[in-house]
Amino acid sequence: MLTRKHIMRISDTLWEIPRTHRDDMRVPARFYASESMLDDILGDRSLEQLVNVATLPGIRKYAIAMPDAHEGYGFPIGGVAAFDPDEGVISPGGIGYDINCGVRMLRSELRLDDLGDRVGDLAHQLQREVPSGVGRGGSLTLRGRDLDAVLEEGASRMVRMSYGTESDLDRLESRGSLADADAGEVSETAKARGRDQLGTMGAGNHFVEVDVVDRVFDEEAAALSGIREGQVVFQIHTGSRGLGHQIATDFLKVMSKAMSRHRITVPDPQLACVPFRSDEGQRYFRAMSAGANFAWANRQLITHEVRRAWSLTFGDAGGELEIVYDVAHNIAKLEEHTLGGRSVRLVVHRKGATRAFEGQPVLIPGSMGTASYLLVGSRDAMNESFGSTCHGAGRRMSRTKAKKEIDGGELRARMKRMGIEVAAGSNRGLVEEAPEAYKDVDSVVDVVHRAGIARKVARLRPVAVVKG
Amino acid sequence: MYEIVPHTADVRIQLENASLESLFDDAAHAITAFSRITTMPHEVAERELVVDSVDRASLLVDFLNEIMTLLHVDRLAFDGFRSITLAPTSLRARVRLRAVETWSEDIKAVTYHEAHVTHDGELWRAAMVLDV
Repeated sequence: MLTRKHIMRISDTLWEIPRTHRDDMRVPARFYASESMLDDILGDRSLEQLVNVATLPGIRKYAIAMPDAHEGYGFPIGGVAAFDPDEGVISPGGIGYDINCGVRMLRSELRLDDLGDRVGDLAHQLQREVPSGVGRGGSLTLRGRDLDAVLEEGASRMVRMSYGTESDLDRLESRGSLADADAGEVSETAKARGRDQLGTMGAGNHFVEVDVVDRVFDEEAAALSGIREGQVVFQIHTGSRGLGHQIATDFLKVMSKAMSRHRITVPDPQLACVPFRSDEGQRYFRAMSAGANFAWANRQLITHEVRRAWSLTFGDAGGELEIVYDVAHNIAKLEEHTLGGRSVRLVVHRKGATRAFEGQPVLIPGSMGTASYLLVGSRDAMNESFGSTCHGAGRRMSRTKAKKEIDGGELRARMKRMGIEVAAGSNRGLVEEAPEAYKDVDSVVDVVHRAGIARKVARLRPVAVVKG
Repeated sequence: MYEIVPHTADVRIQLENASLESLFDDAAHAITAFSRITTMPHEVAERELVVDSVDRASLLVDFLNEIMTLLHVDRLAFDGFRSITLAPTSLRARVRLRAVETWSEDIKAVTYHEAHVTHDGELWRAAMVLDV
C-alpha cells in the first residue's frame, strides 16, 4: 500500500510518485489533490492503480489522476493516460464500461423567479418525458441499418431525424461524432442491448437536473456561453447504456486472449490492452468510437425530450433551450499535443476525466443535492494534463452502506427543505446517490482551479433532480 | 454459498463450495439474486452456453457475463444447470431459464477486477467485482 512517504510534492495541488518507485514504471505518476485530500486518496487503491497504468507500453510523460480519483477497474476512475499510437497501447479499462458517459448542459431564457411554483410540475414532466430506471427502454427502437447509422454518425443522425438542429452540433465535443466509428465492429449482442435505449437515462448516478446559476466567477467566459446569474439551466448526465457496456465486455475478453500473442503482460487483468495499431486495437477503437456516437445520440434525443417537457410546462413563454456544451468523460481520442517542443499525435485515454482544451467549456456535475460547476479549459491543461481535468465528485461510500445508513424518506424531505424537487423511480436508488456518498465537489473543483487546469466560470445550484 | 460484500463504487461477490460446478451455479444465482428479478413463473426456456477463456477466473467472469446477456437481451433469468462440463479454460452447459417480467438492479458487467478462483484443498473459493 502506498503511503505519504512515497509521494513527492510538486506544488500545493500536484503530487508525484517518481518513476523510481517501481522498476516497471515507464513514466512518473502524477495526481492533483490538496494536502487535506491526501489521506482520502491514499485510503483506496487508486494510486496503486495509477502506478500500474504508468507501466503500460508507449505511455508518454505521466500517468495522471484528478482530485476526484477513486479506485476503478485497472485504471483509476479520474485517470488520464496518453500513448504513442505507433508504440503504445489502447485499453478498454482506460475508458470504462460506460463509453462516453458524459454531461450536457442546456440554458434557458428564464430566471428561476420566472418559473413561479411550477418547478415540481417541470420535474414530473421531465420524469414522464425522459425514460429512466433499470431495464427501461425508450420510445425509439432502431435495428439494422438505422441503428448502424446512429453508431457511425452520432448526434448528427439524430438531428437529421429531426431531434434537434444543425446548430446543436456546434456545441458538442467533437460535434457529437467520432469519424473512426465502424458499426461492423459492434457485436450483435451490444446492438441488441442498445436498440431500444436511445433517449433513456438509465439508473445509478445518471440524472436530468434543473439548476439555477448561483454565482458567476468569470463574467466574460460566462457571457461567451450565454450564462448569467439567476438563469435556469439543465444538465443531462448519461452515456452509452447497455450498448457501450457490452462493447467494453466484448473487447476486454478479446484483448485478454490477444495479449500473450503481442507479448504484453500487465499487473492487473482489467488493464488488458493491445498495441493501438494492431488488428484488435483498431477494431476496439472503431467499436469504442461507435459506442461514443451512440452516447451522443442518446443525449441528443434526451435533449429533445427535455425541450418537449419544457414546452409542455411553460409553452411559448418558456422560450428555447439552447445547448451550452456537451463533454465526454469516458473516452479515448487521437489528439495533437506538444511534447518536447514538438507536436505529436497521442491516443489520450480519459476515464472519469474531462477534456479541457483552452477556451472550451467544461461541465462538472456535483452529486445529487450539491453544486455543479461550469469551468473553462486552459493553456496550462494543454501543457500539464493532455488538456484534461476532473469529471465530478467521486464516490466515497459504498451503495450498501448508503442503503443501510440513509433513509429514503428522510433524504427526500431533506432535499425538499433545500428547495430541491426530487422525481425518482425508487427510494433505494435515491439513497445510493445521497450527497454524503460522494466526495466534496467544491474541494475537487477548487483544486483544478488552483492548479490552473480549468478555471471556474459559474456555480450551479440544483432545484429539481430526476433520477431512475 | 455466496456473499455480497460492499465495495466503494461497486459490489463484490465472494463464493465458496466443495464442487467447482456448484460454485459456478452459486455465482450465477448470486448475480441473478442481486438483480432483483421478477419472473413469470410458468414461462421457461433452456439454452446452450459455450465459453472459452484464458484462465479459470476469466472463465467464471465470461460465463457470468453470458448470463447477464441472457437477462439484458432475451429477458431470461438463470434458474440452474441442466448439465455442465467444466475444463480449466472452457465450459459447456445447458442452462434452465425463466422469462423475466422486470428487474430493478442493473449490473453493467461482471469485471475481471480482483477476480479469482482458487482451491485450498477442501473448498473452491472465488470472488469478483460487479460494475453496477
